[in-house]
Amino acid sequence: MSRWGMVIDLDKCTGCQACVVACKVENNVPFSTPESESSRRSISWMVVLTITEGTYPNIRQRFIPRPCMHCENPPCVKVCPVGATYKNKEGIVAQIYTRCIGCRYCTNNCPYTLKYFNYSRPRWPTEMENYLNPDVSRRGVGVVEKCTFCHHRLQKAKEIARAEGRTLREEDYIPACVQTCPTGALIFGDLENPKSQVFLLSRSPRAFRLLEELGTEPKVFYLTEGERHA
Amino acid sequence: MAIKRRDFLKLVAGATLPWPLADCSSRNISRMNLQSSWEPRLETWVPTVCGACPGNCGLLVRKIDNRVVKVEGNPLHPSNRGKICGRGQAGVQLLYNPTRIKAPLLKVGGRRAGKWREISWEEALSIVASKLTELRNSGKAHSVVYLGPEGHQVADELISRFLRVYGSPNDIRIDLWKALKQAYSLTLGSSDLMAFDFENCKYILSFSSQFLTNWPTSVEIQRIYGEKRSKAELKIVQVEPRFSLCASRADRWVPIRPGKEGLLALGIASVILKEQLYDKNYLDRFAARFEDWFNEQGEKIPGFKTTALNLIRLEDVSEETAVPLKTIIEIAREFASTRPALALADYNLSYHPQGVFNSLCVLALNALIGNIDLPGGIARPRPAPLRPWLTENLDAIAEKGLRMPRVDEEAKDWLMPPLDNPPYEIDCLLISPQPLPGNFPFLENWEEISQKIPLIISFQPYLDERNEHVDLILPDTTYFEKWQLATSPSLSMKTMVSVGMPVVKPLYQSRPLEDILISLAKKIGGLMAANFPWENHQEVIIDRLAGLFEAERGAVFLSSQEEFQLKILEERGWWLSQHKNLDDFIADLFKSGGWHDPVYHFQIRSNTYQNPQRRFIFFSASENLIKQTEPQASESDYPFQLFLYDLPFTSNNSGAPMPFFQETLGFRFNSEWRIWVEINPETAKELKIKENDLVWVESPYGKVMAVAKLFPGLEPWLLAIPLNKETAFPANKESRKISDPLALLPNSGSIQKNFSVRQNLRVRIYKEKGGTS
Repeated sequence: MSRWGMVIDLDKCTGCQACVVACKVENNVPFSTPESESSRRSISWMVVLTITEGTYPNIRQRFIPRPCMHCENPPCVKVCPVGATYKNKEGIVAQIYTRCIGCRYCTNNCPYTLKYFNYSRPRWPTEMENYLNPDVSRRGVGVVEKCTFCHHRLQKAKEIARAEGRTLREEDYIPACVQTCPTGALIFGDLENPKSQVFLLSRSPRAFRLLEELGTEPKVFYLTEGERHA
Repeated sequence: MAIKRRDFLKLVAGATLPWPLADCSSRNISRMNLQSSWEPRLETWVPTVCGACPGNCGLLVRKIDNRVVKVEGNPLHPSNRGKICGRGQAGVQLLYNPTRIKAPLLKVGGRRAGKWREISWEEALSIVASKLTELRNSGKAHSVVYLGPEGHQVADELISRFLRVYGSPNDIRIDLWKALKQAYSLTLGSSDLMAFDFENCKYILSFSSQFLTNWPTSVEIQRIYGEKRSKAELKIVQVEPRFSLCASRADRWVPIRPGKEGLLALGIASVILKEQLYDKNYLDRFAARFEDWFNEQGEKIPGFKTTALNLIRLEDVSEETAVPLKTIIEIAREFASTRPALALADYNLSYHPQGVFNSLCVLALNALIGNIDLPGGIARPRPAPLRPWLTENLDAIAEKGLRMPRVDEEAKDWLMPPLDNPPYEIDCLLISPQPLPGNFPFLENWEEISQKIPLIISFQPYLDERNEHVDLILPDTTYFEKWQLATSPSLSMKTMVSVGMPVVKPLYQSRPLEDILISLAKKIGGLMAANFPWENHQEVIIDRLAGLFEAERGAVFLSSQEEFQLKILEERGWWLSQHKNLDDFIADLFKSGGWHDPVYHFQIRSNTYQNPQRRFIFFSASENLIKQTEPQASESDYPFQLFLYDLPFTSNNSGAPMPFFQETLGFRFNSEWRIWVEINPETAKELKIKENDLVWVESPYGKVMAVAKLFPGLEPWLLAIPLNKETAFPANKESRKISDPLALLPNSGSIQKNFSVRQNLRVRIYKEKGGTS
C-alpha cells in the first residue's frame, strides 16, 4: 500500500504563488475578496507563509508553502464527532463534506490551522461557474474543508491504471500544486517506495517537519534553507 | 386493491426510516449539486499558448466537453516544460469573466454622458472602415494612432502591417525595456534585447532586475533556478533599494539608493580595472573605445578605462550609493573571478531619469569580463525561420503618411527628453486588446488626453472604467478562443515558435482582433484589401509556418531526451525529416504545441555585434553623467523618498480580471487587498505609525491613502508603494481613485511622454485621523 507524502525544498521556493492559484482552480475554492480577507474568512488550501527576520539591512525572508500536513497521527480526526474527517488507507487525511456538521472542533484542534470553515455559501459570478472542476464537489455553507492532496486525481489515476490493466505508477498521480511549481520546490510521491525521490529526500539531513514535537507525524517534509546540497 | 407482500415491506421500511437520516439525505443531494440533466462528460487536453503575459509559455488546456476548467504547462514546451506561473493558472478567469464585452458597443449620446448600445459586427466594421477611408482620402492617414504594449505574436506584426499599408507611422508600443534597448543599440549596434544565458551561468549580479518574477521569461528562469539552486551552482547578488522577492531569494542583498545602480557598476568596474581582473583578450579583439581613441578630427578621446579610473573615487561611490566600500570590492572580485558571471539590467532601470546611463554601466561590466557571445553570457536571440510576409505594396497615400513624423517622436540624442508637443493632432486612436500598462503616468491624464481625440476605438475584451472615454468597442477574444502563433520572447535564447488553435469557440459575439483587421482591410478595399489576401488569421498562420517546414532544421516540440538526440545530430550537421509533407507537419505542430531548434551557435561575430565596427563599444563616462539629478521637492516638507515598484508578475498590467491572481499579490503583507505603503519599523516608531494604520502619502502633486506595513526591507528614509495593484474585483472607479499611486507623480503624462520616470519622488506621510483599521 502506498503512503503519499510531499517534500518541499525551501531552497527552491521563490514564493511565486503558482501553487496557491493552481490549487484554487483545481479544487473549486472561491477567490478571496477584500471583505472576506479583512474578516479573515478567505479560504486557501495552499498558503505560502512568509517569515521575516532581522532588521535593515540584515534582513532575511523565508517562504514556507503550507498544504495540509496529512499527519500520520492527525489531531483533527480524533475530535470529529461524526467521522467526517478520517485517515484513509493510503495515509491521506480525507474529508467527507456531506457528513460534516460544522462543529469546527477539527479547525480548532489542527495545530497548523489549515482547516477552513465555510462561513458563507461559496459564490462565483455566473460566468466563472464555467471553469469549476466537475471532479471536485462544491462545499456548502457550514462545512469544513482543506487540502486533500488532490485526492480526486488519485482516484482517476487508479481507474485509468485499472482500465489499462496495470498497477498504479507513482508518476500517475500528482497534485495540482506540485504539477505547476515552476522551480520544482514541491515534490510528491510514495513514502513507502524506497526508490522514490520523496523517500530519499524525507530521510535527508535537511529534512524537518512543522511542529514535530507534537507527535502528529506530518507526511509533508521540508528541506531546510541555506545548506545547498542535494 | 390488493397489497402485495413486497409493497407492504417497502411501505413499512419507508415509514420507519428515522427522520434525521431522511433529512440528511435530502441535504446531501442539494450539497452535491447533482444536476438532473447529468450525463457522462468528455475530458480533452488541447495545447495552446498562454496569453496572460507576453511570455508565450506553452499550455495544455483541460476541457470538459466545451468548457475550459484548468490549464497546465505543456510538458513538451522547451521554455516552461510543464510548469506555469500563478498568473497563467488564473487564466481561466480571463476567459470566463463577468466583465467581458458581449458584442460590439457603440457610445450613443456623447462620450461622457452617453450609454453603450450593442450593435452588429456588420455595423461596427462599417463605421470604422468608413471613418478610416474618410481620413485616408483627406490626407490624414498619419493621424491614426495605434496604442498598445509590445508583443511577440504574429498578431502584433499584423497590426504593424495594417498601419503601414494604411499609411500611419504611429504604431506606438509602450515599451518598458526602452532604456536597456537604447543601451544595446549604443554598444552592440542593434536595439533588440539580448538574451541572458541563465542555464550556463554561475554568478548573477543583478542591478534592480526582477528576473525571477517580472520578465517574460521568468517561468523558464525559475525552472533553471530550481535546477541549479540545490546543487550550489549559482550565486545571486541582488543590488536594489527595496528587499524584493528576487532579493529575498539572492545569496546577498546589497541595498542601494534608488537610481544609483549605474554608479555602483562603475565603482565595481574601477576595482576590476585597478586590480586588472578584466579579460584583456576579449577587450583587444571585441571591444572599442576601451583604451583612449582618436576621433575623425584626430583628437584624442579618453576611453572607458581612463575615464573610469580618473573620474571614479571609490569612497565617493560608496558615499553616493550607500554601499560600503568593502562590499563594492568584494563584489567586484567575486564577479570578475567567477566565470561565467552575468551582470543583469532590466526595465526597472528605466524608471529613473538616468536609465540609459545606468544600463550602459551594467552592460560595460559584462564586456569587461568578456562575457558576451559565450555560454553563460549575453547572447543574441535568433529568429525562427518563419516564412516572410508577402511584400507590402504601398500606394502614394501610404508612402506620404509614412514619411510624416511620429506623434511620439523622440529627440535623437538619448540625453534629451522627448519632445513636448506632438507635431499634429490625433484624429483616431485605436487601443490594443491588451490592457495598457497601469504603471504609466499618462493613464492619470487619460481623460484630458482623450478629450482632444475625436474618435477612440478600443479592442479591449473587458469593460472597465477606462473604456469610459471610448466611442466604439470591437471586443477581441481571449487567447483561448483564437488561432495563435507566437515567437519566443526576446529575452529567450531559445529559437522557437509556439502555436495554438482555438480551445473553445469565441464566447458571446467577440471576434479575434486579427480577423477584425483582415475584415477591415477588405472593407476599406483597394490596395488595403490586396495587401491582406487571407480569408482569416488561420490562413496567415499556416502560410508563415510553412517556412519552418522548408528550413530543414529543428523539429516540432520533443521530450527532453528526443531533443537531446536532435541536438547532437544537428550539431554534427545531420537533420532527418520527420514529416512527408507540409500538412503532416502542420498537424503535428498543433498537436505538440510548436516548433523549436535546440542548437545555438555561439561566436558568430557579425550576428552579435551589429555595428559597423563589429565590436562592443564602450561609452565614456563624463562627470555630469555621474553626477545625477536629485529629487527636487524640499527635504523639510517632503522628508521621504518614495520608491514605486511593480509587484511580481505585473510588469505589463495588473491582471485586473483575474481575482485569483490579484489576491496572491499581497502574500508577503498579510494578504492585503488594499494599497499599502512599506515603512521601515524604526521610522514607523518615530512617526507613531503602527501596522495596518491608515495613512496618507502625499507628494507635491497628489496624495493616496494606504495601509501601513512595517517592513525592514528598506532604508529608514525610504517608503515603498506597489503599482499595478487592484483593490477590488471587478475593479471600479471609486476603488482606483482613492488609492492610485500614480496620483503621486507629476501630472505630465501624455501619449508622447509615455515613458515613466518615477523613482525620484519625495513624499511625506501622516496618519489618517482616527485611522486604525
